[in-house]
Amino acid sequence: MFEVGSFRSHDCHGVSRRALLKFGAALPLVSASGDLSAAEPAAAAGAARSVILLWLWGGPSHLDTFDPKPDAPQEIRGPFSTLSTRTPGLRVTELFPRLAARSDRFSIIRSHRNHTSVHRVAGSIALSGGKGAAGNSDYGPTVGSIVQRHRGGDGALPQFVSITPGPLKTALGSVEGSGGGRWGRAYDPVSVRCSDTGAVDIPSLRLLEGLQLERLADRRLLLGLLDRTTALANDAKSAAWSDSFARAYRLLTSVEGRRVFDLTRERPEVRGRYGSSVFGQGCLLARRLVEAEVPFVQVNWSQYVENIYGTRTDFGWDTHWLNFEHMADRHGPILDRAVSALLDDLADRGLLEQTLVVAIGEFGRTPKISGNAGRDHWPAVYSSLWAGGGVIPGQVLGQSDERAYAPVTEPITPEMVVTTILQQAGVDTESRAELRVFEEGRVIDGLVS
Amino acid sequence: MVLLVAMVSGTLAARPPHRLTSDGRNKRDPVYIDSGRRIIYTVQSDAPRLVLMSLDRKTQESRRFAPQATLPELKAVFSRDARDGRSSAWLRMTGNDQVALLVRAKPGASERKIKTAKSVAWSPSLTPDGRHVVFNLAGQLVVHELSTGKNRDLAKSSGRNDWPAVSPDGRRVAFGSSRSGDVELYVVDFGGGNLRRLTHRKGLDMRPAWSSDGRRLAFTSVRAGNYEISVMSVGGAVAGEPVNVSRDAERDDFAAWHPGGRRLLWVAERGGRQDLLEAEVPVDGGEGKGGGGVQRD
Repeated sequence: MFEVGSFRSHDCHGVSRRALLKFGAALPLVSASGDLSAAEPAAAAGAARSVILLWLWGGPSHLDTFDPKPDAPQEIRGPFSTLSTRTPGLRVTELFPRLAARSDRFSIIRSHRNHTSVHRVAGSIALSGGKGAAGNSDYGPTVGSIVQRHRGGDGALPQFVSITPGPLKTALGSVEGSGGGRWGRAYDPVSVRCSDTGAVDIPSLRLLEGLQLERLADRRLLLGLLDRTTALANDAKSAAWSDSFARAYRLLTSVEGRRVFDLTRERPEVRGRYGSSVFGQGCLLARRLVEAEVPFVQVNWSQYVENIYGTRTDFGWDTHWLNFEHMADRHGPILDRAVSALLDDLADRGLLEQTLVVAIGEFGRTPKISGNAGRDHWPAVYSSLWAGGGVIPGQVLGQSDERAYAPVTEPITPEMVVTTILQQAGVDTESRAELRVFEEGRVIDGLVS
Repeated sequence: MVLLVAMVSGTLAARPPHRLTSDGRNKRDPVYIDSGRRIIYTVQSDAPRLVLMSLDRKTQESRRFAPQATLPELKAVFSRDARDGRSSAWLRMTGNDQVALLVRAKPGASERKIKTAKSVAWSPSLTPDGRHVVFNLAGQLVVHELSTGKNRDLAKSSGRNDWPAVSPDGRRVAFGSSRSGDVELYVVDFGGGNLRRLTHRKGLDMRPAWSSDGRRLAFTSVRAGNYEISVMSVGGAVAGEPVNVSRDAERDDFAAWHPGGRRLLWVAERGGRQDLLEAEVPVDGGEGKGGGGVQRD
């Protein structure tokens, strides 16, 4: 079952929110001409047909995840023991047994460095690869937006999908550099919500609520709706929104679009491997999207960086308080299960070699445990996980000092991260020059074959 | 010994753990109340993100424990296992990095916020008489006297101290501490003396829960990354060897004893879905006799 408007796919318990439109097998498809037509996307030139960016919003502690320091003083190392892995020289904390057991499928970078400790700025820089042209604003397009533009497809499925509880935010406001940036909102991702039960929701289709099924299939009506929306607020913002709406509409009115977003098509045991969490089910949806050849999928761990935030609580990685409690209670087990399941699933389906998986946040957290028994922001060094898509697995690249305060090897910058993702996704030097992005960018040494 | 093991193992095999919920959503902190007739637990929700649920053990129906709550609430604890006269405490996520510890002196009474110097109290445990609440504040244990509002430290040390659990007689507090480097279980007199280390194993030992007779502790032990429920005797001068009573490759966490002392309740992840599981535990579980089909850990 698949519904639209306030739509959601049925979860495995048959729970469904009220919906005004129901798609059936007989739904007429949108015409293949005009603004909503389908076209073949450009072929990918790099090793990665698709990219899955697992965005760990809020800044995970590098010490409590992939760069533990068991010999450091207690006020630095924290309470967690470490596990050996299948990778020589790699130990992870005891919260990641599944990843430890399959470390031959990924590599870890331990020497990232960002330019700032402010979430909104650091997040924008990490996702777009550079500082804003006007200080902390006017960012370039994010890596997903660049891949989207490069591939340029106009088929049923969008080129850049963000699986997210909502637009990236902090308590202080929205994150500017999380979409098309100065290229405009036409290059923003199609945002999709996925609940812990696997229910899927596309917010940009809320406008369709109240329409009858036959009218939804009437393309003239849709175009009229878009015109009306644009007329209501005749500015670039609404025009971009209309474009986003059109992409989302195209997605839903295609057979493929309906199929790919319906997680009930997965066997229960497959869904279970990812765990009953927003992030876990989002990872499963990401796998379905790359299976359908969507070039770039970003899975946001949370909407807000904050770990605890009243009604907006969705357990981001910003663990100034309760760092160790939340690491042991939910962040560690959820991340371990979801990423392990994703890597296994991609490998089992023969997709891992052509899918680049990157798990990273905007920065790390203070090595010294704070007076609040948490860890604060630390952009000087942090870690990430890379797999598939041409990544040489089973490696540890870069090194932090003995107390995880700074890299002792060359720092890996956001620019290098974005350049490497672009390169693997087929946006090579020549393409970057054409797009005027990262023309001088460097690929991370030794990470990819 | 072989006969004993076989007998108790046979009992366990005949009565596999019983699943009490089926929604599969993330859960935590279950606890029995009303002489075991009801279970209060925390479950992931859409809005608010965490809600307290009340499960009727007989009908197996769950409903919101505090349906009027609009902010995330979790970790409800109760002073004694009785329908009337019990105190309760719980946590409410009120704002940005703000968690309020709230106490209700008796059912129907107004809630009272415990004031602390820092804004995030965690892991509350009430004394049986409802006069004190012990909690983790910034990684150290605090005893708060409800009538005076006074706080005192308990078993303060380097490292972190968390998950305090006041014994049924109110004389001891079990807790987890990283003072030795690894997180181990300790017990200390309520007044702060007679600190004893209970576990000596690599990996997290956390969330101790007392049996109603005060002779055993159930707790979460993380071994090679796997969360399991262990039980150990703490009735004698020397603590018994912990035994693994959950024995599953997936996560088992947040144990609570039935007031009768023969059943354990915990959050079990099976096939990626988290539900409440209840199982009988052999009377000698954790006594160091090696019985019960349990696995030495």
